Amino acid sequence: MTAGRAVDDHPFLSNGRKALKHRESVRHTQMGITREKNRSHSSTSPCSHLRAAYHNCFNRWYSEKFVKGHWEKEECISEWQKYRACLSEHLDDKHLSRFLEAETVVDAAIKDDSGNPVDGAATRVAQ
Amino acid sequence: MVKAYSQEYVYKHPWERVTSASWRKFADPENKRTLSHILEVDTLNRKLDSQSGKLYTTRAITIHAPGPWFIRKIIGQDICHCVESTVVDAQSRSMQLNTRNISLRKFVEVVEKIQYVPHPDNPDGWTICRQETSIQIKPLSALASMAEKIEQRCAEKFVQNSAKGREVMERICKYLEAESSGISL
Repeated sequence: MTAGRAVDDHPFLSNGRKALKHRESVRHTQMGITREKNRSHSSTSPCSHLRAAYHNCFNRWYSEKFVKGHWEKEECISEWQKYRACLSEHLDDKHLSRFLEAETVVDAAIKDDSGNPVDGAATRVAQ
Repeated sequence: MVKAYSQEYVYKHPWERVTSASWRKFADPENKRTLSHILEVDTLNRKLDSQSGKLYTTRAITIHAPGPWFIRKIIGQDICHCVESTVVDAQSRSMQLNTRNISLRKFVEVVEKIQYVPHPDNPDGWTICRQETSIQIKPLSALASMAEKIEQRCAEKFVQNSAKGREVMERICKYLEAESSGISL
């Protein structure tokens, strides 16, 4: 019930309640397949709806605001928090989950791979 | 033993559109068939520097990389996790992506660097994509004797997949172009 409300609260999912119901029915019928998938690699597919909601919101913000110079305000925060909470529950892979936790992870990941960081990226990160 | 490849490609679309397409590249269900080797893409971390207009992102990319049977036998899996770090600088209009594998590192290390910047001849209309890929098979791995062959195979696969990636990028750019001018496809 609470989940239903949460989805309804979001304008980006025009058919909030419907989408949720659909998701649940799909889950039931495809339980076997989902499990099968989980076994072969640490799948985050239980988060796929939250992921899609966040990515849709982000893509819109990126092309309509960020690249047009309106980068002062971060958006999609509630979508991000829900998706992230789901990820931290389902991301078993230790290599990956450490990236969820670290604050300055992007800097580390860029510098960390070789002695030769991507041109420009390193200097920008350092600022 | 390191193999390095670099490619350059010009998109006849503005930087804003091309980088928007880059974010959508793996997520769009339309493209799932073309980029079927990409199983999952998750955003792990995102940070916006609201003063400078820089956006930092870390994503996890799960790739299905079926190789010859003997590779699967030795490695024991055909799924590879990669981490992609991206810095977008909206002010100077540049996007840098840096992807490396974090699993199977005992056997192989792949680093891919992609940069999207406005084309100097037409900065508001075209975008250059520079891509650098380096593939290194670990010399002490059980695969050492076959390393040369595998590197070749990896490289071929990469070149194939980056061509597919461009195809998808072009399609999304066209879609975004139509969308921005109010025409629905």
